[in-house]
Amino acid sequence: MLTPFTHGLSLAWADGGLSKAGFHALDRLQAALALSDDARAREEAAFEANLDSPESAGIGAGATLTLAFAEACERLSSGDLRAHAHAMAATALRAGLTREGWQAGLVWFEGWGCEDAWAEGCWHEGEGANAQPLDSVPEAAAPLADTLALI
Amino acid sequence: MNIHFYTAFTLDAKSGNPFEGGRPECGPMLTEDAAPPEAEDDDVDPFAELGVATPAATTEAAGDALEAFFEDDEEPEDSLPVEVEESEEAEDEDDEDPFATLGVATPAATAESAGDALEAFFEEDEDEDDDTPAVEETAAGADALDDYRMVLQTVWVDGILDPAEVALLARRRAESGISFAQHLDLVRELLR
Repeated sequence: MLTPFTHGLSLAWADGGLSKAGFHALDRLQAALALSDDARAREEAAFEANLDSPESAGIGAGATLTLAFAEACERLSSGDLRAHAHAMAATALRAGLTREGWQAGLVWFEGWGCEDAWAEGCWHEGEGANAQPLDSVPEAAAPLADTLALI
Repeated sequence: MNIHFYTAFTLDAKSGNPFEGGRPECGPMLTEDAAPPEAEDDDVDPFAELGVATPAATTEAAGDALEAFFEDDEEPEDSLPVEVEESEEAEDEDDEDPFATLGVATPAATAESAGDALEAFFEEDEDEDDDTPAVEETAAGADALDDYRMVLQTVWVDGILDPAEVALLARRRAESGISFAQHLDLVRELLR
């Protein structure tokens, strides 16, 4: 399942190699997501276990994209994450939410520590009952929007 | 009576004719209708013969027994450690409390305890009244959860959840008192 950090890992390892810059970009992403070292270690171990061995070693060219994503996550996390989760849920619901989409959003927002807000938005509960769909998807939410077929 | 007839038949059978030897003599203890000789009536004390006490002796013995009974009856008063004082007071006033003697509560105490019991009963009843709806709610909650589970299964049967279905489920939750946590548990169960 896709989480913000595994998305960053996939960017950082895009060519089959991880550069120093990519590693530092992952550090920033970890901080933006407020991810613990243990949680990061688990996610990295699971991701690297599924890495395909490339024919030729990469140079870690994905570091730039990883850094851009980390910065986008920093911007998003500085705002109202719960409102963002509610709005993403409302957007997904308007488009039609599949079971897989529901679970993907749950795992994604668990990475942000606000999966309950996603659930509220999806099921019209609490503050999520009156959430308005997004007109545009923030860059940091693009991976999930892609999974939900919103973009 | 059975012994009498059996004995008579045996004796008569020896002679071959049951009426030939006449009626066999039977002792007074073996027959009811055989009249005892008059002479014996004067000499024999029937009580002595029967091995029982005479009426006079019986009266004497009864007197002893009554005396013994009253003596026995007095003893328990001394052996009541807790209620002795009350009993003694009652004796002093020559107005023995039959309830105390019998070891049961007085009507006043009974009324008091009955009041307490009633109070306790109603308290328990109130408690039960408080508990009963909770049980019913639990039972109704189980039914409501089952119903809700069915609705949840149907809304996602096409694989796509839309806002109208979500609104319907939210209304159902509000009506049935199903919490959002319960709803999420059901969703997890459904997707398992």
